[in-house]
Parts: sequence; structure tokens; C-alpha cells
Amino acid sequence: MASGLRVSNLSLKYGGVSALCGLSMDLAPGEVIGLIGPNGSGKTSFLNLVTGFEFPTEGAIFFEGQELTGKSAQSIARKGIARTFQNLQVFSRLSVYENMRAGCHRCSKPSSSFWQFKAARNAEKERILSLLDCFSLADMALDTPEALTLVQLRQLDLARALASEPKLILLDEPAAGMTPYETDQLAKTLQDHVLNGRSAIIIEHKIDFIAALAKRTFVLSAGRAIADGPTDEVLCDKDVRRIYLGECG
Amino acid sequence: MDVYTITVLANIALFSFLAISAWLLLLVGEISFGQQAYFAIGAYTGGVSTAVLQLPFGIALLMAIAAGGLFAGLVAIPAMRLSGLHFSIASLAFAELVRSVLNVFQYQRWVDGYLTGPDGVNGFRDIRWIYDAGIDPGTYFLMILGCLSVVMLGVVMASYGRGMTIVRSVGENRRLAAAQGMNATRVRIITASVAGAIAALGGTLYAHMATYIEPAQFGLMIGVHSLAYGLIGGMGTVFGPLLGVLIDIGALETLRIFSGYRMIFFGGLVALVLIMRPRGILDEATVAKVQRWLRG
Amino acid sequence: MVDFIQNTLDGIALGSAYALLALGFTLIFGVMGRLNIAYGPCIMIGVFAGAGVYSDLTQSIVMIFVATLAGTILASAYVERVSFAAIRADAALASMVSTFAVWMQLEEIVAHLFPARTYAFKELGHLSLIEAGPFFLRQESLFMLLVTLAVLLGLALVLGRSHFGLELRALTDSRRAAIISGINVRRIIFLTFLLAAMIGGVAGFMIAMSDGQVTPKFGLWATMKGLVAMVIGGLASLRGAVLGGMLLGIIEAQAQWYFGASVREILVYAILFAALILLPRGILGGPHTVWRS
Repeated sequence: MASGLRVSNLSLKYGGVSALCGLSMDLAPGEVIGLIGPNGSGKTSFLNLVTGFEFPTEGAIFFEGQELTGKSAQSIARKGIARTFQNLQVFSRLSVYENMRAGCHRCSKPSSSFWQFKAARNAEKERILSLLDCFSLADMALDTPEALTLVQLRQLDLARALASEPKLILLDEPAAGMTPYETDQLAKTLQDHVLNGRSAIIIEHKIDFIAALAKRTFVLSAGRAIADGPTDEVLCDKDVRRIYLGECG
Repeated sequence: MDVYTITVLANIALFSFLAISAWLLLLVGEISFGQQAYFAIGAYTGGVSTAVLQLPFGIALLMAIAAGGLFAGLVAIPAMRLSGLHFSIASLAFAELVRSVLNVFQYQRWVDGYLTGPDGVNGFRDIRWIYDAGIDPGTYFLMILGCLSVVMLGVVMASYGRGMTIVRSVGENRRLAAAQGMNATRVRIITASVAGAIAALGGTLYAHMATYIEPAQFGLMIGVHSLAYGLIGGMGTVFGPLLGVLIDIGALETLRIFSGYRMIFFGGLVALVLIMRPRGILDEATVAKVQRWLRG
Repeated sequence: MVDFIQNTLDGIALGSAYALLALGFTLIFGVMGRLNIAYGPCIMIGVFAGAGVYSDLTQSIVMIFVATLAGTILASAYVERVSFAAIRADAALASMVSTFAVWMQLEEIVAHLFPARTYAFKELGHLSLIEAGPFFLRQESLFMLLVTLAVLLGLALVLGRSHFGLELRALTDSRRAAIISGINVRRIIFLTFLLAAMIGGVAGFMIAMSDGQVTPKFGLWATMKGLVAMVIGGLASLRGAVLGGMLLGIIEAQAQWYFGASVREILVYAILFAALILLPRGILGGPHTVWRS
């Protein structure tokens, strides 16, 4: 299969410590995977490897048949893989609108005349405003992120990742720090605007959130995959419940 | 306008090139103590082109821009591997290197019965193109203003497009910028090169107005001054560095009451501004507010 | 070979002055993560105060020393209040530009109080030379070296033995951990400025004595040399600062002897630039310091 993300035998070692150990995963186009596991099990390391922020000690990563292993973060982003960050990252001195523009890299092409340039800019503006609208941020477009609440910042992070029209989006704990109500709202927004036909990997500790969005779930423990399958089955698995949820028996 | 006013205005415009140059690097996240190097390179390249090689003024401008951009780019390629203070000191080292090389640089030719050209520490006299071409100070000032407008228009166009957003993104958070598909290293090198070209353009215009230049004019002092202008005026817009220059040269030099105490007042003013507004008078938040207000 | 060793000796003496200047920069950079480029000009205030006392009041070497130290400390305290304590914690760049602004003020104050620019300073007699075989050591070189050693010893004691030293080291290591441990960070920063000022005052005093005069160019000179030596040493290390200073002194002395003054300048900056590119951590630097606004 040429399309989608394919990861084979991925390992990451820091000195003698293994963060990831021979991880393999296939993600079909349009598929949404939930990635769960205890703290320190290597979820974020996995995301960092796929997005080129860290390089694997062993193994290979392919996206749409092209090898990504060893490619820089920016060239991976240009291939259509976008991500958000667990520890919120926004350009705090750029306005919300400019933050969105920074994300528009895959849609801006050099123009040959001023009029073409202007038309492209207007199209970009429209797209950004409609995206901001989806996340109810349109009123804040000219504010700097300092004026935003935590939930709004998370939404900005998401909206910016979407601005590049990625084929694959990687979400690192998008609901961290949110109340149950906000989490539900976020799940709805994701369902309506983010995941429609787009493949995604979602890291999250909130099991209901994963269950609502991902048909398939992947469980990591101490750098190894311990389960992979339909979400409802995985979440009922005894080993998973023991390791992840701390249940005995 | 009398010649004095024109000279002050021309000085404001000329320092604005240097201030915009340092400001651009601040935006991309680097503190340069060494933009005066490219100002000097521009001044000497332009001066040699017209006075020694007898080339037309337009060609001299282009050569200066090319030299400034080229040198700044070549310095930036290795220097951009450094970060923070290391980059600042590397830029300072390069600037002092340029100055000390100019101190021994000699390239003199007989032109119209005069020995003309850079003569090491003794400086470079008789860059007399504006006199030979019969251009009066007022006209030359307008030429400087024209060049400055082109530079500022360039920056405004870049903020209309995605250019300045990219520069600011890289300056603020390189990792996050990379996640947006930006090649941070390339952005920084290109920005440094453009900043060098802008400084060199200013330098060449300066050389032709002053008619005499010497290496000692391009010391650390003007470098740090130009850095300060951007931060006082504000980081949010290209008018920030201009405002900084205006406050320093415009207001304080022309107001006679400050004569002799200019630096005490200017220094105190700067210190105060920075306490209240660490990113200058026209900082990003203010610019955002003004834009909001303008759009209603 | 004889020349080379002799140059090295001279270079070490000169370098010991650079080492003290670099130490002052490093101490402040260590606790603040910020650059005080007005450090040189503060010392300039001190040496001018010393020169003023020398020309108008007394020949007493103790009084001149006290005046130098007092001037440096006063100016440093002013810099600390205006450019560091008053500026928001997240604005390192604003601090640095502010120190530059204060520098301009200090220069103009000196220009008003000392209009003749060049003033005499109490001189060490530099007639007698200490000879050893083909080598000789000028008396002021020996004096500089001894004073530097004394300062280093004192500094090592303060940092290693006193409670203030412990707090300073803790703060240099991690500001956050220091705050959590109940260290009064603002107090330590102020005291560190005073400590750096004292070291700078001693350095300024001995440089002025060996030159026999002071000029307003001293501020720029001291800032440049201190910064360069600090960067060669690797920014965050006190030992590195001392070594960096010595190395800078030796390189300058050698280049001066073999190539003359103008090539010395070129060579020093070319080496500095190359060293930064090739050895960004300096000769003894710790982990790469990322310094951002």
C-alpha cells in the first residue's frame, strides 16, 4: 500500500535508555488512531519521530510511499503532516491571524503579478477567517494570544495546524487541562471540522474522548506496543486495563 | 530649507537604514552588534565605484547592495549555527575585523590628477560624485528619501504577504516555525543578507553625502546605537526604528537646550521607555491595537 | 623562542587584567542570563573618580584605591537598579539595550566632570625590571599578576565558603530552583553586581596604575576585552573566563610582537570569529547556552 503512514520497527534510544522499542504501525488514509499509554511510555517521542523533531536510532517511516526517516521537521511539514503540541505552542507576539498565516505554508505559491498576489492573499484571508470561525476565534483575529484563554489557545493551535490543509494531523493531548464539558465540545469540533476524511493520530489520556473519535486504538507501554485494534476491544483488554488504568485482576 | 536642516534630516534618513537593518535581525531573533560592518562595506564599495573606478552612481548603489548582501550572507551561513549571545559576539567580531582590515586597506589611483581612494587609517577623501554631477543637497536628500521609501515599501509589502510573518515566526520560536514547514536556517540567512544589503545601501548614500569616510566612523558605537533605535521605537512595525532615530537625532540634536547633555537625556529616556515598554514604543501589542482600530 | 616566551610572559600579565574583566561579565551573566555592556563604563567612572582624587586631594594610594572602588560600585548599583531590577523578567534584550543607554549617560557625565579627557593616574614606578636569564618581567606585570591571583583567591573563598557564594552558585544553576529554595533572588543579584563591581574596580585600578593615565575610551576598551575574553572562555564558566582572558592576552602580545599593532587587531578579531564558529562552547564552556530575549 503506497498511501498513508507506515512506520516499521521504530526505536529511539537516549544513551542506554530506550524511549521506543521496535514500534510498527500502519495508518490507512482517512483512518483515525487513538494513541494511549502511561506517562513516559513514548507517545510524544513517537510523534516527535514522525514529525522530524527527533531522529530514530533504528527503523523507518514512510508517508504516501516516500521515506521520511532523517528528513527535517520543515520538509515533513511540507509533505502534509501537521501537529499540535502538548505544552501549548503559539507565536505569542504574532496576532491570532498571523499565527494562522504562519500555518498556511502549503497553500501559498509565488505569484507572478501584484494582482495575482492580491487575489491569493484574499483567498488566504477568507480561508483563515472561515477556519477561525469554526473554532469561534474570528472575533479575536487581531488580538495577540495573550488575550486568549487556555481553551482558545488549544483551538488556535489546532486551527493553525489545519491551516496548512494537512493530509495527516497529529494531536498531542488536545484536551489536556479542559473540563469535561469543554472536552465534549472539542470532540464535536474535531469530528465536524478536523477529522472529516483526514487521517489522524490522537494522543490523549481521556478514554471517553478517544472512544468517541478513534475507531482504532494503539497502546504503548514502556516504549513497546502492547495492544492494537478496535477501540472498544482494546479498552476491554485485561492487560491494557492493568497497565494503563491500574486495575488489578 | 537651509543646509543645516537638510543635513539633520539626511542624517535621520541615513541612520534609518542602519536601524532598519538591525531591527530586521532582531525580528528574526538575533541581536547584531555588527550591522555597521555592512554600512562600512557599502560606503567603501560605493565610494570606490564612483570616485576611483568612475562608475555611474546607480551602478555604485547596486554594487554596494550586492557587496553588503553577499558579505552578510557569507557571514550568516556559519554564524547562524550559533545562537543568542554567541551570534552577537560573532557579529561584533566580524564588524571589528572589517574595521581593522579597512585600517590597512589601501587602494589609491590617480584620477584627474588627484590620488584618490581608501588610504587605511587616513580615510578615504573626495568622494565627490554629488558635486561633480552638480546635485544640490536638497535633491540629494530627496534621493536618500527615495531609497529609504523603497526599503520601507519592501518591508510593508513583505508584511502584506507572508514574508514578515515567516521572519517573526522564526524569530520567536524556531521549533514551532519548523513545524509550520519553514526552513528556519534559510529564513535567518536570507534575512541577514537582506539586512546587510539595506545597511550597505545606507552606507553608500552616507559616503557620498559625507565625501569623506574613515574606518573609525564604523565602530561599535554606531552599531549599538542602531540596535537601540529599533528597540526604543518599537519592534512591532518598520516605523519603530525610524521613530527611534527621530527621537535621538531629530529631537535631541536639534533642541539646543540639550546641547552637551544629549546623551544623559537620551540615555535616561531610553532607560525609562524600556522599563515601561520592554519592546519599544510601537511594540507588537500597540501595533495590533492600532490596526484593529483602523479596521473599525 | 626567547621572544616567544617573553611575549607569553607579557601576555599573561596583560591577560590577567582581561581575566578580571571577563570574570565580572561572567558573574553577572551567570545570575541574570543577561549582558551588562555598561560594565566597562562603570569601571571607567571608578578610575576617573580615582584620578580626580589623585589630582585634587591626595597622593595616598589607599585613598585613590578606595575612590576607584567606590566609583565603580556606585555606577554599578545605578546600572543594576535602572537596567536590571526595574526591567521585566522576560525582557533580556531590553535590559541589554538599557545598559547601553546608561553607558551613554556615564560617558557624558565623565565628559562634563573631566573635560580635559586624559588625566594622570598614580603610577607604579616602572623602572626596575626583574630579570631571570634572558627573560625579564616588568614590575607592573608582576604587580598585576599578584593582584589578580589575590582576587581569584578571594573570589574562590567567597564563592566556595560563604553562604552568599552558595546562594550565588545556586542561582546561576537554576533561577527557578533558587526561588523555590527561598533564596532572595533580587538581593543576590544586587550583591553579585557589587561583587562584580569590586572585581572590576580592582582591575581598573591596576590597569590605570600601569598606564599612568585614564581616558574616556577606557569604558569601551574594558567592555570589548571583557566580552571577548568571556566568550573565548565559554560564557558560563568562571575558570573559562580566567583562561579566556589569559589566552586573549597571550595572543595579543604575540601578534603585537610579530606583526605589529594593526595586524594584531585583524588577527585577534579573525581568531575570535573563527573560534566562535568552530568552538561555540568556548574552551571551557558548559552546555550550549541558549540566550534569548
